[in-house]
Amino acid sequence: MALTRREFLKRTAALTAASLAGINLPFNLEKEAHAADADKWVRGTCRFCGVGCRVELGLKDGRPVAIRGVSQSRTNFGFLCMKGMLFYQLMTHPDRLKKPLYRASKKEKFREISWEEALDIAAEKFAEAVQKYGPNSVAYYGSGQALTEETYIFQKVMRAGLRTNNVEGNPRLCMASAVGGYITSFGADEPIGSYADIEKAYCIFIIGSNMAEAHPVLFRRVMRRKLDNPREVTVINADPRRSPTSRIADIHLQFKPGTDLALLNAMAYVIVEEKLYNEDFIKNYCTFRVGKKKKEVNFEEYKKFLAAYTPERAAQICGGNITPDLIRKVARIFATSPATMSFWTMGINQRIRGVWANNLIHNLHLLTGQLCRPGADSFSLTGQPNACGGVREGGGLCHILPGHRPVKIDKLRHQVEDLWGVPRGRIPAKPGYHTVAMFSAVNEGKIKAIWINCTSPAQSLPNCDKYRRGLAREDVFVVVTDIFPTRTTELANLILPTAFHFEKTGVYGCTERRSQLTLKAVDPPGEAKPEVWIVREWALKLAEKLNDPVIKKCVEPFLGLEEGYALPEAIWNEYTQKLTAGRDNDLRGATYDVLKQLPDGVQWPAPTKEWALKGGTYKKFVRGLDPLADKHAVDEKPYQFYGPAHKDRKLWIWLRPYKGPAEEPDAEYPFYLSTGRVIDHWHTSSMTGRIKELIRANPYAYVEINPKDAERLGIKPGDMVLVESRRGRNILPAKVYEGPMEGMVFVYWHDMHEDRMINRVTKDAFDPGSKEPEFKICACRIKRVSGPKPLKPFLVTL
Amino acid sequence: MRLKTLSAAILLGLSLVACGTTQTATAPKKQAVAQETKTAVHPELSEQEKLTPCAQCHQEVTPAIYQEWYQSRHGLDNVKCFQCHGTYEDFEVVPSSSRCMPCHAQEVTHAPKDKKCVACHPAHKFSVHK
Repeated sequence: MALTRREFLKRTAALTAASLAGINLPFNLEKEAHAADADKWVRGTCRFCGVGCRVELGLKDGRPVAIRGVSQSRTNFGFLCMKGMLFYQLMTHPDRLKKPLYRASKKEKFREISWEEALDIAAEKFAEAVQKYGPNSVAYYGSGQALTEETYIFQKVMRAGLRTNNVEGNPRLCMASAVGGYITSFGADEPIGSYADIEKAYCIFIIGSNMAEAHPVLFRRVMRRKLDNPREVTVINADPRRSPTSRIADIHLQFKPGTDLALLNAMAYVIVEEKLYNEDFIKNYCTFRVGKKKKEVNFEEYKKFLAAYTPERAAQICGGNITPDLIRKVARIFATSPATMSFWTMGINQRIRGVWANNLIHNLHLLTGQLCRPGADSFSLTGQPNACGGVREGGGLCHILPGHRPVKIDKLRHQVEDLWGVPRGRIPAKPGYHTVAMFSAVNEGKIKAIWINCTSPAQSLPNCDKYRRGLAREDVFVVVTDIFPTRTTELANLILPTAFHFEKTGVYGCTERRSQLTLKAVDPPGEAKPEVWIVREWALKLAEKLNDPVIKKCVEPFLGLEEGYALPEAIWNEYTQKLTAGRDNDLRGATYDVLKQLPDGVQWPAPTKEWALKGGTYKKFVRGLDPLADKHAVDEKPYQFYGPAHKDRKLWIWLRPYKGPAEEPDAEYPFYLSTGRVIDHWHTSSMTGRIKELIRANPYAYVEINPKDAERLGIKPGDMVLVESRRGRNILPAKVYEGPMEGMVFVYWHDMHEDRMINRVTKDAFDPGSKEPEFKICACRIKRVSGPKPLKPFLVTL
Repeated sequence: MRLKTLSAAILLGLSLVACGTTQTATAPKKQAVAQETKTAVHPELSEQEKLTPCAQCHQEVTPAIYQEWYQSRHGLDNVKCFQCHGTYEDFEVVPSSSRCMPCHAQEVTHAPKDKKCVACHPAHKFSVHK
């Protein structure tokens, strides 16, 4: 109930009185332009996470002054987080890279050079490597933050032009296990449902995700659903760490890091034992599979497999607050709620058995038929704004070509070659290096030239010191395209300044299969250029130096086009009209003109303009909702699982045994170390660290320690603590609170200070299926080194 | 230790003192007698001290306001102090309506122009209209 004005005043007497009369502020208040001052608004999407919030950039006299949400958008309904509302400040930031910079040796200082010279050097170095050491001596390492047009043209030039599949990107570090999970369970990548299912869900199962900080605006919808229906909706949060996400949870499952597979199998055990499964759904749509050979087994064999995962045994493995009764309780809620929706992110994906963990979440949905209905979905949250659209769909990983085509399938590879008009055989049949293998190859001197775009692997790779040594080699030529200096530009030979969001045009495809267009609103600063222009011009020089007309052929359709709009539009058209035609991510209807007409873009499949103009497909595989489900229907059943990877058109329930992390605590390194995001910062903080509001709110990384451990080790809040693993060490201030469970510490990974860069400590073990590293778990020891010290935020500068 | 000192300074600084009606940027001199208009004074902060999330001190110095925010939807969804009030360079004690626009653009457009949002939506609770 609202307070009366009188009560309100009384309750907050001191400060309210103060606020009414004003507070004396000993600061120099400047008149900064705000939303109200904007004279023009340009529509686009947010630059940061995978939610895909629709935003408008406010301009005053052509200068960016504000960002606001678009209330008609079905992603964010107008809401934004602090990163989203403030990133306009980056467009005019004085640290922006504005000129190409070059140094022949990494020991030298950078000098400014012209674009002509810069592109010439980049082409020369790549051509030289290809000629001397073969196509696999060059590599591209991209980003889930690059526009789809950028990833597409980069990979086209690398694969068909330079004849290498060494095309990777940071989504390998965050999404690869989710891709593996969707393909092996459902036969098709990316979620079946949409955010719109949140408002129809009754059980929301969040595991390995602090969505309150990593996906704040989507979390708002979950929070709203819960607060509006406190009795009807149950939120279950499963995480070794209590996070801000736990605040809305009815039940928090706190288990030892790396025991999630046992927990999920035990939930399945309860569902089967108590006959809570949906027999019709299983009979109509599912099969059971086991092992590398994907052998089909029957339900009885699955039951036998589950016998090892009684709630009693799982509770023993899981530790924390997990009891057999608690497992039974959550399994019942999951199975019997009118509609259950699961969410997960890196806690599940960044594991040496990340694909299995994904499979086991899908299993719960398959057993119970909590799928394809409104509110029922198994929904992986994507970390980056265009990991789905650009990289998973656009062909940005070493094993996939555009349109969800595996490289190794001859028919699909030849299709791509034909569509590009290059000779068959031009794209190698063998996938390239995955991320850890790629940087290992750099270490070994096998890769002689690497192009790193829009990401900072020198900080974001696990066990990063090991890979920084490789990037520092004098015989490895490193090109970096970015907007600010980073830990990676420190290791570059050539830094090329790029246009930022809203300084160029292009598409981002967010978590829910939704493509949205951001229009160029302002010119990039100095001589910064859009990546699509850079790649086109570089490819022309490569063609000349290697005397190879096929390289030129890769960019021929784009010659002479203006880079702010016409060029990205032509690239988007080629990609959507040719490469997605007939594929499950058919985007032919989503032309720039259509995307401009809709307040929130288009969800694929969207094979026609008519369908795209309706917003596209809210739920895949459901007849009447998904045009491809109707097109590919083989019977009268309401769901048609036409995904390209499962010829049997079934969903697969997997028998996946429990497996712990690669490195468990022991006597020498007795703590679990886990890492994650904070709401105020994005990735390696090269952007958010330059926004004063955000750096003040979260100026440096902390190590979170459970109060019981802190007491035992004599650590007080703010004390400086050594966090050390077999690979490296950090010294960070301590935050003592009931976040991480006892025996576990948690560190934020955005800080780029050498003492607080936690990826110097993490482990680079990876999932043998998805090749995604296990950032989330390793063993460490901690020790108080001193009392609190005044620390300064740190950013790499030139 | 530093934190404690800072908190104490803020507690002291926020105790009500009369400084006349003008909002000057000077630090508090001494407690005056006349209580015509009450004005609180935020203590001066060094650049180092500015690297402290607002809520960290205000949890102690203005616990009622902090709790209201923490329990509100803004608190649950991590909408932080600076998102409405700005930071040290552009701080507003009572945020003007344009500060609400990043998330509530439509509502601000429809709202009466002669009132600030907080005139109807209780500050820090934002529950319903007063």
